[in-house]
This record gives sequence, structure tokens and C-alpha cells, in this order.
Amino acid sequence: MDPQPEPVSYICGDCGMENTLKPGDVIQCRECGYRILYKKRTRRIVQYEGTLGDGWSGHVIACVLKY
Amino acid sequence: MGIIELVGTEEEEDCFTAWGIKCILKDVKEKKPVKFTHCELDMSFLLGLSCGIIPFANHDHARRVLYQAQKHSSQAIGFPTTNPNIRVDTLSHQLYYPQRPLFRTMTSDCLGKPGYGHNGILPRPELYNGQNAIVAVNIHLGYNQEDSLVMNQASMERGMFRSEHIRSYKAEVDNKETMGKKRISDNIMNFGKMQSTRGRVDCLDDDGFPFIGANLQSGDIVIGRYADSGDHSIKLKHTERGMVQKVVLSSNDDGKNFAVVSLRQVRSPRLGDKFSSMHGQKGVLGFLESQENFPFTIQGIVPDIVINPHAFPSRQTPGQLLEAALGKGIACGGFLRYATPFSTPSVEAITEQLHRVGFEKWGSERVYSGRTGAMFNSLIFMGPTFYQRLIHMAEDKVKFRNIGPVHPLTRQPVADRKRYGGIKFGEMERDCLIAHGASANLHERLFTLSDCSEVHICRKCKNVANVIQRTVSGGRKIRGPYCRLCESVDDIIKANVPYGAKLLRQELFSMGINLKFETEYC
Repeated sequence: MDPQPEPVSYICGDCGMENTLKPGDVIQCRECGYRILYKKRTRRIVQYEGTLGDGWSGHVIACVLKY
Repeated sequence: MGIIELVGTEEEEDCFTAWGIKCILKDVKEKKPVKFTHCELDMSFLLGLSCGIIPFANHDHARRVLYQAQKHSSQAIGFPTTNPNIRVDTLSHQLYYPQRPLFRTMTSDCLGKPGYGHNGILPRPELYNGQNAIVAVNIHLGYNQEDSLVMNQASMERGMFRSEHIRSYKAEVDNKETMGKKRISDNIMNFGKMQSTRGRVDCLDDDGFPFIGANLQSGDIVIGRYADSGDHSIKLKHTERGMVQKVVLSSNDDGKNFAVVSLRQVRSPRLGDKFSSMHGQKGVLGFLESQENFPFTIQGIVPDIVINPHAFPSRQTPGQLLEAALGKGIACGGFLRYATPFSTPSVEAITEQLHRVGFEKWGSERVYSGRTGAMFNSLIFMGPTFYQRLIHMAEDKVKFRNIGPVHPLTRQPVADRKRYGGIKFGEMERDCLIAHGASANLHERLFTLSDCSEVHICRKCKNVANVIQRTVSGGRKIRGPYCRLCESVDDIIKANVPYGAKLLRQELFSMGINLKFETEYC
């Protein structure tokens, strides 16, 4: 979908700093050394196809996530 | 006197505990020596937590109370943690809108912190795993027969018993800290995207993890992981699906990197989902009826759930009916709120409260059919009852197959759902087909579609003739069935035999028991 893949960045669970990781790196925040990182939300367009039980089948709830 | 002692289960053995203060006073009054060493604070405290919150437990059959206290309370979906958003449990369920029951018990009062809240309503109702549903005891076009229940579709769409299910997948790799110690020739594993023969990688980013919000179906790769030796990706279980909620990365001191991918799934009640009241009355959803088709009362009240009256006589759980009647009074502002086991309000008190708030005193209502508009001849009992959604859901139990894996020993289809197994056609089903005379169908089920195979039988000696390689005159080698007893191939025929029967013959043969096969042409 994305022609130019950008490097995937992660958010530190403690200080909120954005980190990029290379294969084999120890998973650790460069700023504070915290060891839990969360993957950032995607910049892709995500379309949610919701079917909430029988009565809602057929209805498609589309929500576009982009920032 | 007046000292509260906290007694453990071991100590309990040696205590002589009075059920209530009345027992002690009775002894005192009769001028007998008081034999008790302790006294319960409340009579219901002889029960544990899961039992002490059952309303009118003393009116129910003991077995039904045990069903609720041991089975259903542990299977009910609730809101078990205060930090669901940062947890990565392998599997967790969360109810969308958990509620507190209308009634209270002595035990339930002890769950909250005293001194908070207002209006006598206690804070922290976190130990309840269910919702208050308006339950009618009625038949509904036969869709609530045999312990099934009919649910209001409009209620469902407004979010009743909606739940969230989160499954997490975990993987680990070595990082550079350990790589220094390892030899370069060692197989180094890493997270990353690689075209895989085992599953789709469409949803993965270059780092080997799916993007947040990706919709993963069966056959997708959840975590991409590879080494020089090949693909080590984690695949989604074929029965699972969900959307990526979060991806968490971490590392430890032993030089390992971890990754957890959490998948979220929101489920509304569906046909076949399991529900239960607090009185051991479980049932599966049999029909989701439109709101318009339910019977309605003079106030326009329509039930959320309709259960069958046959659930009550043999099960002996009038506690549920008392709960509904009391709950109805409480919902209308009644002050009689306690349903503590062993000190429950009397039927007179409940009916009196109901009558005072303007209802028929037995809790029944005049209803009109939503389908036809005609008045029902009888009154229908209706009231708010605390219901639980249990973790057994139809979606997790769907099982089907046409061609699939077979057991290597018996060559019969495997049974396991996780391995795409078959559904057993058991003895009862066999009896049924025999009774119907559907012999061709039976033959197909049990033989053709199961473990059909062929054996060679020598008709002269009735033994099985194995396929062997032998030398014929002229030194030529041929391969084929040959009876070694008769030393001939003249009377050998091929017969259809289940592989299980062939296996049995071979196993008996290995123990020195020979089976002979009587055959005839057909």
C-alpha cells in the first residue's frame, strides 16, 4: 500500500520518546533506558468492517484513521 | 465477649461456632451452659464469597447453589482487572457494561469500602460479573425449549452482554548482548518480514509485526521471525481472528528480546452463546427476537430475556423468582433491598412491597402480544434478574470438516477441533440410522468416509493374504498378494474392510491369535 516504506518507530512506555530499532538491538529506550516499548499507530488508512451480531450484518461502518 | 477473631480454615476445625446470636441466647435462656466458642457475625457468613452473594440462596436446591458458586461464577465474563489496557494476558474477557445487582446481601456489602458512596449505594462493585436483565417467564414460539432462552435483539444492539476478548501472542529472539558470546556460525533469529510459505504476511510491517488495527484472519502470520535456517514465524491459530490492539516490545537481562501482539475481538450475543442466572439456571441463546414481537406490559416494558417455565419445577430454584420479584420492588424505589441467605425477607414482605409500588403483588403482569396485539389470557411473571454471560460461546465451538487429517494408527479422522478434526458419529447416532433403515447412509458414514481400506483374502484357507514379493519359476520377481499357507494365488479375492478391523487382526496376529474371514460374493 505504501510505496516508500518508512522506518517503524516505537514509543517508550515511560518517557514517551520515539525510538527506532535495528534488527538485533536490545529493546530499550535511548532516552531513559526503560525496557517496554509500544509500536506506534499506523499511518495507513484502516477501514473497519463491523458486523455486530445478526441484525447489523451487511452494514459496514467505515472509519478512516489518518493524522 | 465482643472480640472479632479472624479464623482460618484450619482453626475452624476446632471452633464450636454459633450460627447466630439467637443460638447463644437460646442456651442462656434455657439456663444451659453456653457451649459455643465463637459466633458468626451474620448467618450468611458461613458461606464463602461466591455463595454469599447469591440472593435467596437458602430458597434454592443446594445443587443449584453449588452450580452457581463453583461453575458459573468462575465462567462469567466480567470486568476482572482495573488495568486491562496495559495487560498482555494470553486470553482475557471483558464485559462492556458490567452492572451491580439490584439486591444486596450481607456479603456484598462487605465488598465495598464503608464511608464512601452516597444514598446507601456502595462504591467498587467490581466483584459482579453480569447485568440486570428484565426476564419474563414465558414460552416464546418454542424458541426457549430445553433450557434455551430468547433475547431481545434491540437490547443486544444497545450493548447488553457485549464483551471484548483479547488474545496475546508472544515471541522471543536473542539480541546483540548474547550475540557477542555466540559464534558467528550460530543460527541468529530476528524479527522481520519475509515472504512465508506458511501464511500470509500482508498485514506485517518491515519490523515483522502487524500494524495497529490490522484485521488478522486465520492463516495470517502474527509475528514475523526468521533465521538463516529459515522461517520461524508465529501463525494465527486457525480458529482465531481479531484486530491488532497493541504491539509491545521488551527485553530482559538474559539478552532476550520479547514481543507481544494483542488481538481484540468484540462480540455481541449470538445464537448458541451461554448465559446463566445466579441460581444455577444456565441456558443457551436460542433466538434473537425483534423488540416489536415481544409481549409488552401496560407500561410498555418488554423483556430482555424470556426463559421457559419448565426450568423451575424440577430444578427447585424459587430463589430466582424471589430475586425477580424483589428486584422489581427495588427498581421502583422499595426499601426492602436485602436478599442475604438465611435472613431473606418473607414472601409476604416482598409481595407487600411490590403491591405498594403499584404492581400486581405476585409480580405477574397483564401483557399484550407484540405480534398480534391480542391480550394474553394469563398473566406473565416478569422482573429484573441478574444474568451472567458465560465464556462458552458458539464462535469458539464451530466445528466442521470434509476432507482432513486422519490418525496415523487407525486411519480414522482425528477428533480435535484445533487440528481440523471431524465430528463423532457415535453409537446413539448409529442406533438412529439403524432404526430408520438407512443402511446405505450408515455404511457411508462409518466406512466409506472413515477408514475404508482393502485386504486380500484367500478363500481356500480364509486367511488374509499379504502382498509380498516372490520369485516365480524362471527367476522373475513379481509383487502381489500370495497365500503362504496354500502356496497359491488361485482363490485370492479383494475385500473392503475397515482399516480398524485390519489393524485389530494384525494386533491379534502378533499375539498368536489368527482371525479368519468368511467371505461371500455380493
